Amino acid sequence: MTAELQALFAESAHELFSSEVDENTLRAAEGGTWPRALWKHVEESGYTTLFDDDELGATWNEAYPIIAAASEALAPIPLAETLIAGWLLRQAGIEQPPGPLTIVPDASDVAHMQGVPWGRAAEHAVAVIPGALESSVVLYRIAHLRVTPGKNAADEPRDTLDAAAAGPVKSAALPGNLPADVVQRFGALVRAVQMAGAVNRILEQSVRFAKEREQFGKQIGSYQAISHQLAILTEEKIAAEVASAYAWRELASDAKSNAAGVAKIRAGRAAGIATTIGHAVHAAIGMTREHTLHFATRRLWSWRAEFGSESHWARKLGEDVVARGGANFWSDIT
Amino acid sequence: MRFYCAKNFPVKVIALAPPLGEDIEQLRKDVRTFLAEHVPQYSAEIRAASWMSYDRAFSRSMGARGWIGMTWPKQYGGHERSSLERYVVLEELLAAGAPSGAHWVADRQSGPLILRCGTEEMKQSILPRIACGELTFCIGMSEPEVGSDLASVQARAERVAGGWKLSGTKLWTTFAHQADYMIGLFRTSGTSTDKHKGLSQFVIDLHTPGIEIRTIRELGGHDNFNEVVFRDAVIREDSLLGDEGGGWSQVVSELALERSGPERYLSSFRLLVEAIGAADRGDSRVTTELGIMYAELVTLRQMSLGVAAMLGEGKDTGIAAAVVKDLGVTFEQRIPHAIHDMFGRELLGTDDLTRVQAVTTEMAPGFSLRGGTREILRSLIGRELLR
Ligand SMILES: Cc1cc2nc3c(=O)[nH]c(=O)nc-3n(C[C@H](O)[C@H](O)[C@H](O)COP(=O)(O)OP(=O)(O)OC[C@H]3O[C@@H](n4cnc5c(N)ncnc54)[C@H](O)[C@@H]3O)c2cc1C
Repeated sequence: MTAELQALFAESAHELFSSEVDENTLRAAEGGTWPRALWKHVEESGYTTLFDDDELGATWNEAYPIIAAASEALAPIPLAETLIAGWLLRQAGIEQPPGPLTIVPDASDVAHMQGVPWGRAAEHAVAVIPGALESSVVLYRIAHLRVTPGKNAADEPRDTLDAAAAGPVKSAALPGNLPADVVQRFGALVRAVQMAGAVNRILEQSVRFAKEREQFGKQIGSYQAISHQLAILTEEKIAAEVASAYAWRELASDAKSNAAGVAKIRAGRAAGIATTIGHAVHAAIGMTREHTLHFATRRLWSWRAEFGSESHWARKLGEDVVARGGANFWSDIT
Repeated sequence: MRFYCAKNFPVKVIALAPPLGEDIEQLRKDVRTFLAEHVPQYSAEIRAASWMSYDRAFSRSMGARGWIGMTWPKQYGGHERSSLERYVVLEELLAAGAPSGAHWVADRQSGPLILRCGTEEMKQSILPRIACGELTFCIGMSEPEVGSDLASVQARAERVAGGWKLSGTKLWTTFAHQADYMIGLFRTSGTSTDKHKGLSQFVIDLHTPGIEIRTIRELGGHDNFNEVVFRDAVIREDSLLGDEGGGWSQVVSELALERSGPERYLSSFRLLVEAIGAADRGDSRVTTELGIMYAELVTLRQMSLGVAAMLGEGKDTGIAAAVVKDLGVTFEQRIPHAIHDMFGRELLGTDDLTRVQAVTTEMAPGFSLRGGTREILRSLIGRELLR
């Protein structure tokens, strides 16, 4: 069933996002307009309540193609955040409220929860509050909180929430099979998938441009210096995609898997290389606000730092590697 | 116009291989147990070179366990196991640093090529002996004037009564001085300006009179590659592999087999193991670099496994293999320099780390040359993109 469902999801998600997200959607979203029609279609397709038993009853594995399709289209909505939040609530036995949800990357100080993606657009936020003995999953109604708008380098809402004066509407213990940093892990995972999608966008745009643009009487793609850059870009795209698809599969069966870090590191590296090559190939026109290349590149520069940068995850993984020693290194990889 | 059109993109993704099941993990355990018994007695340098270390006795013991020619039909001495099972055996060999050079080439490309293009007589007489680890093969492609531009091969094969007469020179032929057979690419008609037309492959018994093999010492002092001179050496008529004039397409598919395996990112693995042993957990510069390498390794492994699964399904892996090789060799080539940055030790050979570091550092430039250079691979990928 899983493979069939995945193929079906892939087909319809691709159809939805490629027809609903265009340049205007992205420009409007960057200007602060909530893409109401897009969100409505996404909700009607059941993508925001995928894990609901009474509806699709899907698993993380089946959800992958939907997030991948949304990522390739750079869909400017908190779909991945809603999915993680809804799943966490379910795990904690709390009913998922309707509407867009978000997650709180760092809830160590509830008076100052910074960088909350789509904070002002979401209706509820889910946070994991660390405790001395156990952590808890809490559900905030955003209307109850003080919201200070902020944004990342791609003009996506990254807001600060203050919950000091208003408590959560629901709260429950974090289940034992989930790590205390579950939000950061799944956040890193979905950003890795999103980065792979954005790298793919850069590759597509760059290949198209290399075929269209002519200099010295020839298409620039016919120059080896350019075609080799595109080859490297292809390699990075495939690496980011494989790393994030692999991590998705690992986390679907074990929320504590370090594969989230692997994917975040690998996709983050691809982001640096891909944005450099994409802009080099497009040259001056790609440096303009009017051109569409920056929709992918600015997001990549922002996303690679969210939910733990490459160096954050690399240090964590590297410390484990050294602690486990050379003799265990190979068995830890397999 | 649609904003994006990923579906029609020319370069296909590498799909994840299915998770390795219980039986494959059991196989891995068996291989590990065997290697733990047979490999530690080799020196750290031999283990560092792994598939560039040559030991017929070791290969025979691998053959005895059914771990060579694993995917081939049983009637030819194979074991009819999956490409992923074979993959697991290979990666375990490399991770342990097992001296696998005597069977590596035959298992990877010569055997599969004979299976696909060879005569029934060839399959019956040669494949079972490869599978027991008895026969070793080398690759006769490059020549003094022919490197990246392989289609301009100059060595010639001419039909004579009862056989073929070979003349010309093959160069950089790894392990030719130790091998029993070469699969060589020769011109059977036309001239080198005819390029890919008129090329044919032959299975050549290296003990044939008229073949001279001269070893060329590598910069690190190892005797691995050779010059092989053919002075009107006459081989049997039935040595022709596949179709006369069909050598080019055969070579292209052979190169795809050569490019995506675990030896394309694990050639520096033993150095990494040594370095982890010497690392300080409190040094964040070192742990960060090791963490990045860990992520890179896990990713390359999944990419390479994905291509192995594609091979098992009989799919065309040309571009995917080039992608894995270019990324993989760039990674394994970076390791000795990264280790130098981390520790900065003089290569005096006073401990295992610096001994392994010296061997790996000296081998590393070749990683991006053998099997097709970085530039050639990138041109291959680029051409596909811009078609
Ligand atoms: C360790 C090792 C083992 C080997 N083992 C074998 C073996 O067993 N059998 C065998 O047949 N061969 C073997 N080779 C040879 C190997 O396949 C060749 O070295 C390789 O194909 C390159 O050929 P070349 O060395 O003649 O370099 P050249 O082809 O002369 O290339 C020189 C430089 O020019 C670049 N270049 C060439 N053409 C182009 C182009 N069109 N565009 C851009 N750049 C270009 C190359 O990338 C390279 O940087 C081995 C090589 C090494 C290093």
